[in-house]
Amino acid sequence: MLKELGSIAFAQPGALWIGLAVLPIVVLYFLRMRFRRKPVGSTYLWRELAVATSGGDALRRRSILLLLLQVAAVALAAFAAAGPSLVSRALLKPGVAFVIDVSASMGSRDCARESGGTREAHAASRVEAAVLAASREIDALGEGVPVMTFACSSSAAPLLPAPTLDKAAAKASLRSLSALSGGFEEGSCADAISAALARAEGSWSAVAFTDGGMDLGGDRLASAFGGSFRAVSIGTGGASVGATGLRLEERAEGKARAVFSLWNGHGSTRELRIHLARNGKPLASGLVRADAGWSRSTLDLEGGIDEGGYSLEIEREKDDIEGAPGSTCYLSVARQRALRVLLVGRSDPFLKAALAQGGISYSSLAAFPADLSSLPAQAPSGEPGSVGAETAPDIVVVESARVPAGARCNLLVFGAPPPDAPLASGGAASGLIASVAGTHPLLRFVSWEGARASSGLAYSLRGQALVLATTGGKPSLVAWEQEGYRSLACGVDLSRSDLGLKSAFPVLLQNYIRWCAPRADDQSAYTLYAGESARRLEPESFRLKGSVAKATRSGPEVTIGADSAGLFEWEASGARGYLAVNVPSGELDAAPRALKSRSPVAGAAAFTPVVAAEERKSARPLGSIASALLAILLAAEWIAWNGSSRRRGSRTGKMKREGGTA
Amino acid sequence: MSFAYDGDYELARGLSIRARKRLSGFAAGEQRSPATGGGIEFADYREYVPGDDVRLLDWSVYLRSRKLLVKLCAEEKELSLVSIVDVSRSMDFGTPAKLELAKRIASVLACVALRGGNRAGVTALGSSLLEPIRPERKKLTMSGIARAVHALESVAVSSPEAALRQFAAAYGGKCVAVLLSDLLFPEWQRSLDALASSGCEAHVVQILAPEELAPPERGEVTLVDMEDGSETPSHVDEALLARYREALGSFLSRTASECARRGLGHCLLGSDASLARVFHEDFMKAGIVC
Repeated sequence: MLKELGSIAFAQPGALWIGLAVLPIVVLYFLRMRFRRKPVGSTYLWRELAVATSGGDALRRRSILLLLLQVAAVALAAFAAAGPSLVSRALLKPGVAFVIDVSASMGSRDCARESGGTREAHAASRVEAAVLAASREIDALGEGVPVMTFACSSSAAPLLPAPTLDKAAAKASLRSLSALSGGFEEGSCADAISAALARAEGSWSAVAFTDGGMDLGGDRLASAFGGSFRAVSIGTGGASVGATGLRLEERAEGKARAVFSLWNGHGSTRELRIHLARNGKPLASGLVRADAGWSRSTLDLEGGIDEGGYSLEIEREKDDIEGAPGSTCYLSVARQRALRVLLVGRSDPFLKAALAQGGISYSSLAAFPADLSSLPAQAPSGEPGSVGAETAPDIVVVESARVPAGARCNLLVFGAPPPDAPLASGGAASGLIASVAGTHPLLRFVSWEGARASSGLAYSLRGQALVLATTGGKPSLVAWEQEGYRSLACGVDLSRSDLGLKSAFPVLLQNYIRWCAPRADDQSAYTLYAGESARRLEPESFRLKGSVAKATRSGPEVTIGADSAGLFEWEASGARGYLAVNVPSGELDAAPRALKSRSPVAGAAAFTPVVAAEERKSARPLGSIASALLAILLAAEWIAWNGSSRRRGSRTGKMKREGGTA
Repeated sequence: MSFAYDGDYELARGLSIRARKRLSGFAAGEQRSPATGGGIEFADYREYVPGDDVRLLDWSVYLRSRKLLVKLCAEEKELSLVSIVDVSRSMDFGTPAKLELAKRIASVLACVALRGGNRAGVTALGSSLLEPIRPERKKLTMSGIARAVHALESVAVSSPEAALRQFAAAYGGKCVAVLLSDLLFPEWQRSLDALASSGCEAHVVQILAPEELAPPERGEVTLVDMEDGSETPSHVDEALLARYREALGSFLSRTASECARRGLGHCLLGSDASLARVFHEDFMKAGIVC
């Protein structure tokens, strides 16, 4: 990239005429500074004074300094008013982005390994082959071509902090790449790459190294580069088998059955030997029939559905692609405790009716407790709800009771909000209830059906909160989040409204519960695909073992996920369990597919950008700099003028004092 | 022939030159001298000492007080008054010009001297000593004096000190000298030395223009010296004027003290002073006339 500083451009060149104001200043200066000649009998006494006070030389120097400052100030004012900007021109060669597919299928080892020009016996993974091919293309680039590198799977990760002209650095950024267990989600990758390109200058072409496992066929990626996109197909072909979607079902006599999906890419039915294990211990083995393509299979177990981490492994055959993903799929079974709800205050019957459903246990208190974590256990011993020592409610529903400040809980309050909430009571509200923000998850399937409130409370916002519904045009349903806790305030008095009779009420309550605690059953709560994340209400003591799986906490919620497939153990308050992470089903077919190449990027061996160089103009506004300099000049002029006046004044004062003393 | 100074001569009536020192002239004149003895006008008494002329004893006093007192009489001698007019270009400055006043004073002083039966002369401090009117015994006319003084014009003076030394050589101890000058030149002290070295009873009448005593100028001016044409650019403001007044006051006090130190009388005049006041107040106070 060749940069040169160009000329200065002006947004308002007419303002430069202001600069002519220097002419009267200069003329006035010379008129003012033309010393009148005054004959005197003798300058004998004056000369002594002139020697003592440096005569008129200091005066003239000061006057010239002031003139220069004034001229410079006027010139700068004209310059600043004209809206100057420094225009720099840069010759930018089109950059090349190297996009390396690191999805699960790229872990297949079906590529020839090359080292020092000789072929080695061991096969290389597709990622290694992609890195090698990308490095060659980087070497083939001409000098001065900016390069960016991306690793793409469930999202695109830039491998360089900024575009580089250093080929060695670009190649070094690729060296540590390896395949992940996620799928190639082209949409999110294209979004991330577009964001990175927006920060980089110039036009960009892309070369993607992939086995073709893009879910949108490369169209989104191509559009991110304006169609200047070329795909280099990695992989030599072949077929693979894999399993996914493992679930356990109960069958007769309390025994269980494993249900799973099989992928057979060989084009003919095969008999596959599978092994099922729980917590690493074998449970069952067997031969299953796998039709070509997708098929559903089962494996009967001797025992029931017990908690633990299950793995289902397929014995690969020789003609399978080595290292193809999905030969093992995982399942986590963990009993889900009942959702703990604490009712505080009046405990309206509509509320109790809406909460009377499976998976929810509630208890009631007349007043808000001082310590939410020391409540008695709500479920009988042995129930999922009593697991662990932590008995803090997951949701607190308050009706007609005071909520103290600093209540750290998911809070549904009917009436006055807590003092530290970003809303406050704002008078009475009555009338028809109507939605405001229709897209909020709390309003999903909520139809007010003409619900009215004859008496209620309106809210006034004083912070970040979202008004979901109004009563008589005044905010009466407001949601907000504080420190990860989700709260909803409803100003409608259930006893003076027909809201409880409408279907909207239980739907709203259910939406709130799911907003706070995402639905999950025993087998789906901790079973994910690689690259996915899931929110779970977990106690503070929740920990994931190892460094592969990640858990981040926000309030009562933990977001869990991993980029690699496997079983990852967790523990919380003495309980243990597994997080099962699977290869996305789309990655099980490891057979490479060529993507269509898009012009103008073509020809892998000699990559030549279509545009040799592009001149880019960038304008840097100088108005603020000129204004700052103008302010400095004016200050200097004020100091020069005022300082000399002060000196004269101090001399006069000194002489007066001396005279007075004499 | 009438001159502008004609009216000035009326001032000379009733005035006489006052000589404080013994005059060195031998010719008897009408000027009452501090020297006692030879005159006829009683001056003072002193106690008799052996050797005194017994004819001078005042017997009437002896008869009243039994004290022998000798009667002293003032000796009347002929006096020469020489006015030394500084005709440098700086004396041409002022409204009215300092030289104008100096010339009028010189002519009136000459008139006073002549009326007292004394000699009068006028000299000028040019580049050398100019003597338009020499103090001779012959009777001068007022109109002659006025004409000669009026003819004096300012000239470029390189060294007033040299001219005064010429004066000292020519008139040393023989006259009452009155120097009329502004003393606004660097070597004014050496010039006073030269005047003092003449041995004459000398007075320095320092004449300054009102513009010099209180400069009216304000702002940025280039002061041009009338003597040598040198220029001094100045920003004349109240501060500088205050310093000027301070310097002027210091200069005047120094000229007065330096004159006193050398036994010279000193009198400061503004060039706009009235001649009547000069003679009847300032000069009397300075002891130049009585």
